[in-house]
Amino acid sequence: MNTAAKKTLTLVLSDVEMEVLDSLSSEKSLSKTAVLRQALRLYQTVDIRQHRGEKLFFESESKEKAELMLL
Amino acid sequence: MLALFNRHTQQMETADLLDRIEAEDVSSFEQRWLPPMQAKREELRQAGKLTLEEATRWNVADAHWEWPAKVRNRAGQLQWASYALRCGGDTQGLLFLNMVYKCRHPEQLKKHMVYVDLVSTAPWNRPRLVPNPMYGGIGTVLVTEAIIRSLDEGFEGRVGLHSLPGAESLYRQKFKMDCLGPDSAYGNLLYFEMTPQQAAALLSSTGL
Repeated sequence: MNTAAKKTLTLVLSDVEMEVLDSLSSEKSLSKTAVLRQALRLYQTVDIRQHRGEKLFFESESKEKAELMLL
Repeated sequence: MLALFNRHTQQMETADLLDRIEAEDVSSFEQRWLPPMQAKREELRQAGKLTLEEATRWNVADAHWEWPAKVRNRAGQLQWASYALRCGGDTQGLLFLNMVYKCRHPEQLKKHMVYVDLVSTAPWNRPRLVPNPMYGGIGTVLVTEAIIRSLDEGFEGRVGLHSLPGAESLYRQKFKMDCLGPDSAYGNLLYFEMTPQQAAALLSSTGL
């Protein structure tokens, strides 16, 4: 298959950030790279929809909605 | 090396799977895929038979999918991945995957998966629409690529999709995916998921 070229990025994280990344990686059974790739996808997805004027809500179990000002 | 079976020549032909739908694939869709599919839908419309059942019977249930607009609107969006399968100098299959959906399967609940959003084969490869379809196995190659992509992403082969009625047997019998029933939020199409175990068994059986 014709595959797009990939590039390498060196990432500097604080201890806490690295702990969070480790934790998510472990919880989701994903590599750290996969977690960061997924985070970037979601960040862009939300950003695009907010640029279109859409809003992001979280709904609690009691059906209360809170707008999330993510970006 | 990827190859497709040409039923006309009874030979295997080298195929190329591109990890992005390009302008020439969109052009193939607009100029060579759409006319015969639209003609059949128009024929059904004029006969008062343009229903999902009849469109499925003639293998044109996906003819209304707007591939050019989707390719244009989704360009550069990381949640989407597209593929084009080329063989014999033309585009034979198109695939759109979504990378941010999560599993509904009780055993895999909320785990990451690859969602097969759209998968289509060129009209001249479609049984029932044409009397002598040319290439076989386009859908199988493309959905298998979705499984491989899921493995590459670290999603362990988990794949989900909504099936048009005409493709249900492919996902049940060939891919041995679990059917989670009709989805009322998606036109009551049946929703299927593949577990890591099913993915491993399938790839092992195909020698991948």
